[in-house]
Amino acid sequence: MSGWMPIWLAAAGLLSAIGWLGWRRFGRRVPAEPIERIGRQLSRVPAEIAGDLRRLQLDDAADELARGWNMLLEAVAAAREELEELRLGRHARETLERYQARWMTDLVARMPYGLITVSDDWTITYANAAAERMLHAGSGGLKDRSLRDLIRNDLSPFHPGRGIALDRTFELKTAEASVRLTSLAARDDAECGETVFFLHDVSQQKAVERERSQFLYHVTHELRTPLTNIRAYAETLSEGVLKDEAMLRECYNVIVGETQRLSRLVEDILSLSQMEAGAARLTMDDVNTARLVRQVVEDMQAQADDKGVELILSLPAKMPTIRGDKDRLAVLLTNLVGNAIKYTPSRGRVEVRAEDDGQRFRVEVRDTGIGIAPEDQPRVFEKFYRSADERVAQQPGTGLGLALAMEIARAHGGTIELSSTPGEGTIFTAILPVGRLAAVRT
Amino acid sequence: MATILVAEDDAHISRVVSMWLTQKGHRVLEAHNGVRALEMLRGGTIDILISDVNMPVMNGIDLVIIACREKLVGTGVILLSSRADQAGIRQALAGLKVTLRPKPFSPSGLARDVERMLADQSVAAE
Repeated sequence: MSGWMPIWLAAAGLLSAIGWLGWRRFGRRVPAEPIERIGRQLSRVPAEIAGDLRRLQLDDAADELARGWNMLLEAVAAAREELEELRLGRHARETLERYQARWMTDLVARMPYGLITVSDDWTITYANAAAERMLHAGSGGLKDRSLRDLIRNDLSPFHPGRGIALDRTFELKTAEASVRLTSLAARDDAECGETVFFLHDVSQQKAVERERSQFLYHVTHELRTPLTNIRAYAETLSEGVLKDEAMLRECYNVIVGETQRLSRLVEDILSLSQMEAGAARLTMDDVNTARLVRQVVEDMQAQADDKGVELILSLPAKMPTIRGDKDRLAVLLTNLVGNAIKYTPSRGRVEVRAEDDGQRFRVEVRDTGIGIAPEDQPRVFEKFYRSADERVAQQPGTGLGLALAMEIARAHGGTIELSSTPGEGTIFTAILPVGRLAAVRT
Repeated sequence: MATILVAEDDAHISRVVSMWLTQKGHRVLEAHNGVRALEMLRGGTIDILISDVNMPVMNGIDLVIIACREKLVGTGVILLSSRADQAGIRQALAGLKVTLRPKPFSPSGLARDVERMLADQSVAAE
């Protein structure tokens, strides 16, 4: 049999060749399918099969069909590459979108501005950290709680929903705080349901406003008394109601005195608001403290004499030179000494002492006056604060002197300390830094 | 002639009001706080009370409310107050017959208020 082997092989080869030629002949006779149809079908061929097809490329370049076939195969490969690129692109885009969404969520959660979403019945469906803080949510958080339970004001006029524009300040039930709620305008295509609110903590702003209106209230009240007097006494003079010379003189004196009081008040208010606003320009200079203290005490001597109060000055032999605004420091000391004289009954004593330890210069104003009640002590440096004590109310005063003195001390990097025993007396101590290293506000 | 109590903590204002009304022939008493004024109202016959609002110990509004409730004033009450406070004061004194005169006031205007009050009183009595 083995002798026949080459013959079989040759026959098989010949048959293959005939088959091949036959296939080619038959192929030539295949009616030309519309190329688009093949293309359509090929475009549906999965990638793996397209790879296999590629291996079936027909090499006969002269053959039209082969060329078409090969072209289709190339087109399929190109389409496949394009598809792959598109697929990869979408993936990247999706990843980016997911990342951006997470980034936005994180941003909203952590931003310092409060944001909540509220459903139709005021139930909070989302709250970021800032909103939880502003609404004083506590450990339970805000989610699923009703906004109505958190806000003191009546919310019924502002039901949430599409088109509801809300921009108002509300007081909280949960804490002494005020929050401004601003609704985000709903999109035109939005369904009724949730409203987004931005929250803004306005507690501090409110406190400032309250303080400002209180200040204005006090200022107008303080201005009114001298104005009333000036008007009333001027009218009394002009109407010729009085014939008595002594009474006429009294009227003139009141007008002059009240005009001075008015200008002092205006000046104090101006200085104080300038100091508080940090707008006051301090004229910094080397200040000879011995001369400063001596000058103030000399100027106040007449006032002490009028009142029958003994004014004593005890200064050490050596006094430092400090950096400061001489005129304002004089106001500081004048206010302390003036207060001491004012609230010390006649035959009492006011003593001014000074000392320094190279770092701090201290001026102590000690009186044997009526003293300051413990409940008044923390408040005496507040603007317009005056004790309800009748002995204080009887004395003229704007309630600004100590506030101004404290502002001046602070502007020089110093402070004023107070110790007092009602019925025994008061010690005010102005403490100012010595040398150029002091944190001086200019 | 009427007896008028001036409740005012500012001595100068009190003095000028007193000056004008004395000149018109009235008897004027002065109190420098609300509590002292109330004592004087309870202690004697006062025709007209002229009171400041801001006073130590007891303010003018409380004083006027007590004075009206206890019928301590014969003819009328004048309250000296700032224009800004008037709405609040009117609310606090709702239902009470009180004349509000804003500060700074004219003493001649105040004297005219007093005369008018006394004239109305005598018309009502006739």
